[in-house]
Amino acid sequence: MAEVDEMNRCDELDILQRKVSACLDVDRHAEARELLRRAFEIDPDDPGTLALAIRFERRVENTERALEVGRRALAVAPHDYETRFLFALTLKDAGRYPEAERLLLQLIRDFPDDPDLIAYYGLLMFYALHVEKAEALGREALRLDAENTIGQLVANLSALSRGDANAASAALARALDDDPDSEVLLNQIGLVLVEQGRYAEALDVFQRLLRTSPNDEDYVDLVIRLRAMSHPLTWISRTAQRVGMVGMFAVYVACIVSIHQLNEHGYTRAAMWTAIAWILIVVWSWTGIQVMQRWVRARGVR
Amino acid sequence: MKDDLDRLEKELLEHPFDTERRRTYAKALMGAGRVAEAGKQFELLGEPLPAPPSDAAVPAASGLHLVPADAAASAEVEHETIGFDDIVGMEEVKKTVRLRIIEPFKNPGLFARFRKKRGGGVMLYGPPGCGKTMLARAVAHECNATFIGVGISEVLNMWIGESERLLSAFFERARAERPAVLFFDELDALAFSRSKARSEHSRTRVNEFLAQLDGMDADNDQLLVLGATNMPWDVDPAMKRPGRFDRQVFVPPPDASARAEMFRVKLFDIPTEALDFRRLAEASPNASGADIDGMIELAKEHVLDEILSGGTERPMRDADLLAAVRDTEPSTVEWLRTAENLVKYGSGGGQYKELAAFLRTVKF
Ligand SMILES: Nc1ncnc2c1ncn2[C@@H]1O[C@H](COP(=O)(O)OP(=O)(O)OP(=O)(O)O)[C@@H](O)[C@H]1O
Ligand SMILES: [Mg+2]
Repeated sequence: MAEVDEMNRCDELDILQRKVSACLDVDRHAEARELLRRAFEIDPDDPGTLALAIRFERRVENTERALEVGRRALAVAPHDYETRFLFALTLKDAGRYPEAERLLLQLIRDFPDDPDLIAYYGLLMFYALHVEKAEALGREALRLDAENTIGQLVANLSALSRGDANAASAALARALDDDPDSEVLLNQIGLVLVEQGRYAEALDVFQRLLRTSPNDEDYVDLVIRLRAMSHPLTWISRTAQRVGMVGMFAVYVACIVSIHQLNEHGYTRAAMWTAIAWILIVVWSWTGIQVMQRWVRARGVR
Repeated sequence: MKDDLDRLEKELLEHPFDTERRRTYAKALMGAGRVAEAGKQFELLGEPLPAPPSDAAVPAASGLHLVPADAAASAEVEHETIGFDDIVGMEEVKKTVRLRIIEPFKNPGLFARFRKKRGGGVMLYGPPGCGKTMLARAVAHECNATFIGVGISEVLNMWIGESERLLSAFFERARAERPAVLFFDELDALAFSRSKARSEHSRTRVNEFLAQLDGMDADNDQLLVLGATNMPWDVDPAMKRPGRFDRQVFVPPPDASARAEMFRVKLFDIPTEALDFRRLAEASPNASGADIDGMIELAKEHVLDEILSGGTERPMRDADLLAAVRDTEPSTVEWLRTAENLVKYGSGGGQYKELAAFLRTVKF
């Protein structure tokens, strides 16, 4: 009898866990939370349930809770691959890079040929601003598995941060052939376009992403910023950004000199207008994008 | 207790169309204090949620609420169907639904003569708690059709079982019971956008669902497929193509006069003083129908609490309800903000015309 009970219990737990996993697949967080609660009622220390709980807390961006659950999970199953992996990712989320690195390195020692581990290690290095190391790891992950999405992500992000947008965009174009609708890829393409200064095209990409994830405020901010950046009226601001402080200073000196010259030769009115125009341009070049963003936020993007 | 629930759930998985089993399961859930889940089951049955056990601990332990599957209990709870008359307000939506869904279903000949395509399924979308599920049930009633509902728990059961077989069982059943309305509640779960999918599993499931929908094309006479979702943007775009859920209807939150009417109808058989329904409606902007249900429950609790703690019996007053209204956050606001992002910054207005028009008329 006791055996039968035990079997039923395992069955039920297994069913609940599969349901939680399915809920997480389709962003059904409320249902996942309830199912997890029931699974914990059956067995508060089941490693499988604990791992799912880490995934859940990471998904709802509750890093503190994820760490807490992670510690509990590690106490129960210190050698479980998934638990250790998820805990490392949670440490990364929490910005605790050295600890995350230590854990990932231990995992890599135990599972040396796992492309996911190497790719995530690369991603961690990217976040920790070790771009060269990140790129090498990304390459290694892709050598083990050419399709590895995180490996591709790392490779593209590192190329971008080196300023090599062309390399990233070529790689993305290849990936996009296989999976034209992937949000992850679209996101990266958007970033490449921003890096290349192709704001109007980037705007298109991020608007498309916003339409599929309208609750993502990051996309809203980005779309507003890109609309402002791609507006003809902010051309001066963008140019100012591009030529930088030194360039602006040179223009500034040239202008002072010409106003002075105009004044010397008796063109006082012309000198005055030039000065006014200059001041307006300078003010707009400083504030244009901000002002335009406010405007766009209020009026929307068509 | 747990085992009974377990057994019932498994049985239901085997016989998803057995309303008696479902009712038993719902009652058992209720008895175990899992009210939210019980609510979903009763919703699918189209029956009102019975009052929760007054002392949750007692029935949960004794299993008093477990009705055997063969009990004649059904006699008293006989299919209390929801019709259009039970849905308060929403005149515009009812008109749209009548014209675009019910009449084509009842009069295929007329629409054929005018060369008006009937198309595939219909997707209802809008903020939570505003009557999408209710509307779907009412459509079945107005069409004199059998209602077959597939909710989130069916979907989850399907996914952990043989999803292909179970999914096609729903379609077969609907075909056998014609005229029938096959209703997929929480469509976003079943048809989660493949571009956002986090696993190969969910992509495969969407493909299966698409295949079923297309297979149905051959013989869909007298069979209406409805879907409902709070998150239409999560639904795979392929679902919205011709022959699938190609017609979309926005179900908005109730306007002020609908809210006033809801308070009136829902408080009809409760002892109250003369109430100022207009004022209640004005105090509850953006409240959904479900919010109003909640407000009324809260006010009832308050009154009963007062009566039981020594006061004398008294009817419900405006003040009780207004306090409850104040204590309730309208649950549609977050949804409306998200929808605004979509339309205002995402240029999504073309895809969601009714929604865009609605957003221009409200403040939130
Ligand atoms: N127009 C209405 N008239 C009367 N009651 C309503 C109306 N709209 C909603 N309600 C009440 O709110 C409850 C929830 O409605 P329903 O389940 O149909 O909403 P829904 O849009 O399907 O919500 P969800 O998106 O959360 O599934 C109903 O049981 C009903 O009591
Ligand atoms: Mg519903």
